[in-house]
Amino acid sequence: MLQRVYMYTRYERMWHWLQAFMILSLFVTGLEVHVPSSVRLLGFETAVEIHRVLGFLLIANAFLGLFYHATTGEIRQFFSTSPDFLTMAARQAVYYLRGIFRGEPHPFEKNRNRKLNPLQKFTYVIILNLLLPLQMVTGVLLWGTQRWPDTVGKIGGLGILAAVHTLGAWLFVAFVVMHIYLTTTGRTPLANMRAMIGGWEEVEYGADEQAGDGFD
Amino acid sequence: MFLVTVSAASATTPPERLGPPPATTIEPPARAAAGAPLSIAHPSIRLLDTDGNDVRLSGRPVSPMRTCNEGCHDTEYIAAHNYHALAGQDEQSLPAPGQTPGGRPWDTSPGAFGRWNPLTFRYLSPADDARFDLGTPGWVLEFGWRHVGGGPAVSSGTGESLLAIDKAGAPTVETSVLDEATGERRRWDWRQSGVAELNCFLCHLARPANDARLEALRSGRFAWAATATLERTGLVERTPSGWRWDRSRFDADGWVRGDSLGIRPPGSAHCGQCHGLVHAGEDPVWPKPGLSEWSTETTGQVFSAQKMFASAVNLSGKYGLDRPWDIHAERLMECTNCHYLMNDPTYASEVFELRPAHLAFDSRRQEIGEFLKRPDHNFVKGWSAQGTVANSLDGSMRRCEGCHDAASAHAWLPYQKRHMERLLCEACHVPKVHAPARRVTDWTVLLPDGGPRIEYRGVEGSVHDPASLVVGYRPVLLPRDIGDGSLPRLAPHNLMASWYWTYGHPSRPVRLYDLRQAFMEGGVYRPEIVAAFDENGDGTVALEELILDTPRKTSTVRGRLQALGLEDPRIAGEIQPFSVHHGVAAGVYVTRACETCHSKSSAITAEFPLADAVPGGVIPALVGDANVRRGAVIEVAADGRLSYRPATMDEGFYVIGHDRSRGVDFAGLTIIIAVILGAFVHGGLRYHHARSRREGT
Repeated sequence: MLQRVYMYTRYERMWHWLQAFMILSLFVTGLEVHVPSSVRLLGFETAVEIHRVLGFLLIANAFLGLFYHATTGEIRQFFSTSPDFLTMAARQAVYYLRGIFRGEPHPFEKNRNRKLNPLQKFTYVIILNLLLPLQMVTGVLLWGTQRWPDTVGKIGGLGILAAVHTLGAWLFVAFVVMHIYLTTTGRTPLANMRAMIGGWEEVEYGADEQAGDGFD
Repeated sequence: MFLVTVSAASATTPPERLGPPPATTIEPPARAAAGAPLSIAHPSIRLLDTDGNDVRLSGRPVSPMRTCNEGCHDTEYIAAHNYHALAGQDEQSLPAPGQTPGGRPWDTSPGAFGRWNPLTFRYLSPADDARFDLGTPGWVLEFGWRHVGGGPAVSSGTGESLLAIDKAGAPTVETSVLDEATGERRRWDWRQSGVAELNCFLCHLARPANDARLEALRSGRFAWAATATLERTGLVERTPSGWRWDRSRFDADGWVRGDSLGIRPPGSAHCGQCHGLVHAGEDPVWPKPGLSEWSTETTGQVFSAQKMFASAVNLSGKYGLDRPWDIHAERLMECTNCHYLMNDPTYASEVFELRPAHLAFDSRRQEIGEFLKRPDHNFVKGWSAQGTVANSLDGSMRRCEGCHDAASAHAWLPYQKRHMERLLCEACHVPKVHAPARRVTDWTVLLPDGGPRIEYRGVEGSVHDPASLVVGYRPVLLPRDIGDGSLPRLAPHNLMASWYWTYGHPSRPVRLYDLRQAFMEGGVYRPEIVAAFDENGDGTVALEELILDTPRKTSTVRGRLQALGLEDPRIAGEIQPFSVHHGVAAGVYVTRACETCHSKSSAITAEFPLADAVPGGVIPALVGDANVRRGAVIEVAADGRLSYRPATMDEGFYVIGHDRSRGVDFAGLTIIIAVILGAFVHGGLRYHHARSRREGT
C-alpha cells in the first residue's frame, strides 16, 4: 500500500536543480573552452566568462547547501554509522545486479529520514567531499593563475592544474549520466524525477515511519 | 678657387669580391619630407688630419678622431665605448676560437668581427688556420660597408695600432689578405691603405655620402672613407685619382660652418644605412631584396610612416591596408628614441638598486656639457635573438611597457596580467610582416653569380619580380627569456635556415674560394658538376636543378672538395632566429581574437615553413646563441618541405583551448562511454526482464 510523502523540501529541490543547471552549463562552456575548435556555441571569450561566473555561483551554491544541510541536520542523510554499512552496500549492489531484473523490492525502502541508499551515500560523500571540492579548488586556481602564479607553479603549473580539472569534469559527467539513469530505478521510471520536481513521492505505507532502520 | 689634388692611389689591390650590396644612402631633403635629417646649431669646426694639421693645407684625409676631439668630444672615450665600432673585438676569445656562446668552432667573438654569419659567409680566420679566408684587412674590405669604423679597423686585438704593426714581421691575421687568384695569403700594407677610423660623419652628417664611403673602403682606401663621406657637403670632390679638398668651402682660417655640414644627432635614416629599410617622404616604399637592407632582408621589417596601400609593393589585399608600415614611425619617433645612448641624460633612469635607501628620488643629473664631451656610444639594447654583441648591455633599453601604460590600454583583455607575463607586446602587435623575408641561405651549391641559393617567405613568385604577389607572413612565436628572472615570453621571429659545407676537425666552413674552385672553372660550372646536376639532360644546370636533393649531387660536390684537399667535407645546417620588433601595428591590425591562440589551429604552435627542401638531408638546428627556448619539432613533410613547429608546452606554456592532456581526455571519455553503455545494457535488461515477467515467460 502506498502513501504520499513530502520527500524533498522546496529548498532542497531548488538547490538540486540549480546545481544540475550549473553543472550542465559548466560542462558545455567548459567543453567549448577545452576544445573551442570542435565546440562552437558562444565563442571562446564568452564561454570563458560564463564558465567563470558559473563556477563561482556553483561554489556559492555549494556552501549554501552545506549550510542548509548542516543547520537542518539533513547532513546526517549522507553519513552512516552502521558497522554493517559494507554489507548493506553489497546488498544494494546485488540488487542492482540481480534483484532489479527479477522485480524484487528495493532492499532499503526510501523515507523522509533515509532518502539515500548505502551506495548513494557512498557516492555522494565522494562527489561532495572529494570531486566537487577538487573542481572548486582547481577551478579557482585556474582563474587565479595570474594572481597566484607561484602557488600554481608549486603544484605543477597550468598543465597539471588543467589536466586535473579536466579529469574531474569528465568524472562529473560520468556521475551525471549514471545519476540520471539511476533515477529511473525508482518505483516507476519517473517516480524519482517527479519527486525531485514536486517534492512528493509515493512510498510503501509505513516506510516513512521506519526511522532508523538499521543502517543509518 | 684653389683645389688641392690629392693622390689616393690604391694602397693595395683589393681582392675580387662576391657582388657587394649597394650602398643605402639618405635621400636628399627635396624628396625626403617628414623624418628627413635636420641640421642643428653646431659650432664651426676645423677638419684635421691624423697629425692635427688642416686638411686644406695638408691635402690628407680627414681624421674624425682628431677633428671632433678638438676641445669638444672625447673621441677616444667614444671609440672605446662603442659596440658598433668594436664589433665584438673587445669580446674576442683570444687566442682559441670556439669559445663563444654560439658554439661554432671557428667563431672568435659574439660580434660581427669574429662571429660567422651565413648571410655573408666569409669568415675571419682563426690565427693558426692553414686555410686562410679573411684577415682584418679582408674583413674591412668585405664587411666595412656595415661597420662605422674604429675598433678592429684601427687596432689589433691587443690594442696595437694596425699602422704600427711591423711590416717585416711574419704575416698575421691582421696583416694578411686572401689572394682570390691563388687562394693564398698575401701581405696587406696598412701604411698604404690607412686605417678606417671611427667615422663620426656617417651618423652625424645630415646627408652622409655612404656610397662614396663604400667605394673608398672597397677600393682599399680605408683612410679616405671618412673623407668620402663628406662628398655631399661640397668640401671634397672626387677626382679620377682620389679626392681633393675645395678650399673655397672653408673660411680663411680653415673653419667650416657647422650648419653647412648639417651636423646633427643621428636620425632613423642614418641607422637605415646599415640596418634596414628606413623610409621617409612621399616616394612609395619599395623594399629591395638583398643585404643592403639588412633587417628588411632578414625579417621583412620596414620602418616607415607611409600607409601600406601607398607603397609600391604588390601587397595582397593592398587597398585594405590602411595602416603605416610602423606605427612608431607614423608617430614621428626616431630609432634613437628607443635605442638611445647609455648616458643620455634625456633618458636617464635611476638604478634603484644603487640608490640610497633614504632617497625617494635622486635629482642629480649629468650636465649636458658633460654628456656631449663623453657620450657613451654603447646604445641601449634589448634581447633580440640576433643581436649577440655586447650582451652585457641586454635589457638596458626601455621596452614597450617603459613608455606605454599597457594596463589601461588593455582593460578589455581578459586575464591581462597573465597575458602580459607570457607574451611580449610584439606577439600581438606584429601579427604579420608584410614584406618578404629571407628564409633559406643555401651555400651547399653556388649559383652562376657565385652566390648561394636563396628562398624567401611572404612572396608568391620571384622576390625580384615587382609583379610577384607579396602575401607577407605570420612570424613564428618563440619563447624567449628576457633576463629579468621572469617567465619566458613569446615573441615574434623569422627563422632563416642555412646550409653550408664544413671540413676538418675542429670544423671550419669551406671557404668561398674553395667552393668556387669546386663548382666553377673559367666562370662556368665544371663538367662533373654539370653531369651531376643536369637532371633534364639539356647540358646546362638550371636554377631549379641547383640543390643537393640526390646522393649523386652531394657526393659529387663532396668529391670535388676532397680533391681540393679538404678533409672530411660535410654539410652543416643551422637555424638563425631573427626577432621582429618593428612593423608595429595598432587598432584593428592587432591580434585581438582569442581563437588566434586559444584553438586547435593556434598561432603559437602553428607550423612555420623553413625550406622547400633539405639540402643533403641535413636537418638544421638552432644556433647556440639564439636566445630562444629550443622546444620544437623540426619536420620533413612527404614532399620534402621542412618546417618548424614550436613545442611550447615543453617550455612550460599551457594555452587553454589549445593544449590538453590527451591521456586525461582519453580516460575521461572512456569512462563516460563505459557508463553510457552500462546504462543502456542495464536498462535494456531491466526492460527485457520486466516484459518477460508481464508476459509470464
